Amino acid sequence: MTRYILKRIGLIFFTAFIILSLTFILMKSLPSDLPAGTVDARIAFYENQVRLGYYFRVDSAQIHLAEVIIIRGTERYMYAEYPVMAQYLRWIGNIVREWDWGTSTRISLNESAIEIIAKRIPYTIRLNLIALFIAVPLGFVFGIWAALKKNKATDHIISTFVMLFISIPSFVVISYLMAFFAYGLGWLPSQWPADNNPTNVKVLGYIIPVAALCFGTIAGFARYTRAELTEVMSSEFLLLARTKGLTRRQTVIRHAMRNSMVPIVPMIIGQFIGILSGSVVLESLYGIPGIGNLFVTALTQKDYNVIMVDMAIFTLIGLFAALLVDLSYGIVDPRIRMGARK
Amino acid sequence: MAKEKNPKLSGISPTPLENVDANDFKFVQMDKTLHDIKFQTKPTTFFKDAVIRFSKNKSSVVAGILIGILIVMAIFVPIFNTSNLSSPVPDIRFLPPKWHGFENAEIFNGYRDYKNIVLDVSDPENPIPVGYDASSVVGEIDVYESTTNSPSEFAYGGAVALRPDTRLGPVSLISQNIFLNKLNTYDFTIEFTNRNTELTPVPVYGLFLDVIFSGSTYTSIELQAKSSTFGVISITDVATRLVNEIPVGNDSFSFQSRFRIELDTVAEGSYPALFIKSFVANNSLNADDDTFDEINFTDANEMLMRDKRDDKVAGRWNTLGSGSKTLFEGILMRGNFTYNPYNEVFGDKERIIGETRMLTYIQQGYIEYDFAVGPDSFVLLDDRSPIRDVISQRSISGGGLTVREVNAVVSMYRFYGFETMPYYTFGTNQYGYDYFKQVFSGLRTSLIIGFVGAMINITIGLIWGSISGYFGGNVDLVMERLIEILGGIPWIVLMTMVILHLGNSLTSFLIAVTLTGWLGVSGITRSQFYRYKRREYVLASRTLGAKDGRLIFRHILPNSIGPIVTSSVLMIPGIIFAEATISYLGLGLQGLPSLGVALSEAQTYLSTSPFLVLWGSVIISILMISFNLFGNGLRDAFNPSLKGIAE
Repeated sequence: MTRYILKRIGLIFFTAFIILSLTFILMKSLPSDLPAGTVDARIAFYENQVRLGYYFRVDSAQIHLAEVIIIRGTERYMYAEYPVMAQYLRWIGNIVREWDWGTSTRISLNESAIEIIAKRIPYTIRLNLIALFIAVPLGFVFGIWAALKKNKATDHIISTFVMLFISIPSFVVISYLMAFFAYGLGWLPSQWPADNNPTNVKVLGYIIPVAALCFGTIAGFARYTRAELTEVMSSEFLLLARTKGLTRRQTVIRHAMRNSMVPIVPMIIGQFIGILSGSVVLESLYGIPGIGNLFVTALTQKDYNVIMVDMAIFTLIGLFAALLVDLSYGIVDPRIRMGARK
Repeated sequence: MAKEKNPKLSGISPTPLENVDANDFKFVQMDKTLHDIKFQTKPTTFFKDAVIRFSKNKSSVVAGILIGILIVMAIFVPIFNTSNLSSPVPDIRFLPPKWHGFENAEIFNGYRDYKNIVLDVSDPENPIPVGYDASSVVGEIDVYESTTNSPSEFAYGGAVALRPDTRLGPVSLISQNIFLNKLNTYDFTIEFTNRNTELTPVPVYGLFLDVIFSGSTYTSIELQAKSSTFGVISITDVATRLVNEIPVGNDSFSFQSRFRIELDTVAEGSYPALFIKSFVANNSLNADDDTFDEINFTDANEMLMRDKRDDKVAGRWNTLGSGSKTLFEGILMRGNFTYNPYNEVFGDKERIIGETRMLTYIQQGYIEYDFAVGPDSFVLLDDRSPIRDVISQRSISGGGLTVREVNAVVSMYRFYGFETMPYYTFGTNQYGYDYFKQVFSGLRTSLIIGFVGAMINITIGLIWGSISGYFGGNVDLVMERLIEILGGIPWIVLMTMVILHLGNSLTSFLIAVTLTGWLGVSGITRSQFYRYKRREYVLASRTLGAKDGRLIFRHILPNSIGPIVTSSVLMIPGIIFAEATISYLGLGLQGLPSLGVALSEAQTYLSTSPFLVLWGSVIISILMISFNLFGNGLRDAFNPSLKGIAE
């Protein structure tokens, strides 16, 4: 087991390394955008790039090499970029030695990209956790309800809604919610309230994005729970339980639910990842200052260093979640042995 | 039941031999040869069976029909709908949906509801919404009173709020200079509002008359000492106080003066504000004296608007010292009303039409008009003519040229080139494009990306999965590791990278969706191959000498096709969703807009024109639901044992 986990973690880092390397090289080979800001800030930015080893200073004798020329008073500051592969090696060196992922060029000039992300990640995590805590129990309840009333009106109604909400993209759901509750009725804020708002406004601000994130998750969860529970309910050991005299309630709670849990618990983790990537568009639509919104802003402003770190986080979260999902199978059901040969 | 028992079955006791019926011992088919009897039922194949099962699933059939309708519309709407999607028409943007036959209905009637629109109430009987065409208002305007703190030509009343913005010294409101004659009798009346006592700090102010006796320096005469008394303040006989202050030897009659209200600032805390409702000064000896006309005010809004008058005489009332004068709670009439934008844009309007254009219409045979005779000579010949009537005619001369033009009633929809009043089923978007056409052209693009992307994914996935599953062993191991690495990249990251590199063209979108899209198909194919490759029929074929390719494509693949087809159908909505998401990131297709682009562009106008987003998302939702239902139906049809089980 330990060996299997270590092997998987090793593979995760290998995969992450390959993905990030590819991303870095691809990013750097895009035409680079000049940083925006005051002359001093721009010079500071390039000096920092020189310190990190991505650029080098060009003196007046080699003016033909200069890619960037900044004029301050009578002085000329000239810089040129190293080749992409050289930058790549230094980039890895910087990360390994100093944990330096580069600085922002557009969003907040000269601020460390890691710090920008760190400031925003709590919003995203908080939002997603709230959505998860609401969606999981609700999905579970609807799934069980539908399974117990299989092929009756309740089941049909729940299944119809499940189908609707699984299919409708979350950005459509949030548009409807915003159009109806924010712009139409005016009950809820039409965009994320800033931090200086009173608590009740901030709480109201959570309702629309959390609801938009939840609908799809509840539906997915209900569908899965229903399917698992229906399967277990039709199994022979449940029939045996009934024949030995247990009530229907007892068989469902003691036997069916426990057994249907096996694939459902790992799904919770899987759903968390689903919510996280689904929230990228939602965050930018509702103006939530999380990492999803940052990703969109960084993309539109071409702040490549920030995009890099953002992508790294998305990639790593995804990879580790996949590992957690696999491991949790073994924890929930000890019969499943990880890494065992078939 | 049994009245005549068959003797053969009658019991345990042996039947006497003579009672046995000889017929029972006849041969059934003495003279016939036995053959296998042909099946009377029709033979069925795996696919026919699946189709039968599928057709019993009503919701999937409905979904299939819906997909069919959407595809047909995606093909034909862009062909038959002739409205343009290339050159923006700003005049007709954001028209609401209007449907034929719904003109008198509650919805889709082409009307919009506007709320809180400023009204021009210069004619109280007939309020006009500012910025809107009064003739296009449907029904009555629901008028109500509101307040505003910014001066407006449509507001009235209110108070002038004087506020200091520094701790250093007082701020004053000063009138422009007026000439006061010492022989006259002047009375000043200032009214303060109750608001002054409601706020903390309570303002402390004084009233002064600044007079220039000589040179350009002002001498301040205190009319009322600094205090906090409010209400109506009357200061009578100002001229007497002036006379008392005239220096000895100055024998002028008339002096340049200004009236000044000085407000003290505070050392800390919030700044005070003084609210002045009116200022009226008059000369009680001469009622016709116009000295104070420019500075008297009973309407604070009107007083503040004097600064914006065309004659640009600055500062009838000005601030002295650091501070501001603003309007406080001026009254502004607003209204809620139903509006017909179609009438505003396409109805009959008075427009100035030049001679050249008139001549063109005359040449086309639409109208008859003689510039020498004038408006009376207008005859409408053809109903297609945009010019419905001519009201007046005028000539403009200059530089040796004479330009003649007419003021005509123009039917705007004919003017824009429509034969009938246009109806926009989904309304128009921010460019004035028909959103119905925009959505369905977008749907066409999205479907193309979906179908082509799915086909490429299936091809790659089938080949990869077949090889990996069929050969197994080390080949499988290497191929699986590659898939694991590719599968680790979040699709949003991958698509972004591809589009940043290759630009947002159709090709790069296809590459973006196919780089990792085939992983799912490959996985399913691989497991299907593991399931079937050890079956006897494969072994039999191999013993007969079949090569690997034949085994893969002729024997195993056709048997494992069910789940592969299902996952391929379910892949199409996935691709369309991914493409729409990317559009929301601002990296949407250029040149050939997709449904995602149409939707994400309209998202900006969700607060003002929600119908655009609603229509677009209704279509994308129907598409997604139909594909998912259709795919689920296929899955159940191909593998009935999986019915009701997700994935």
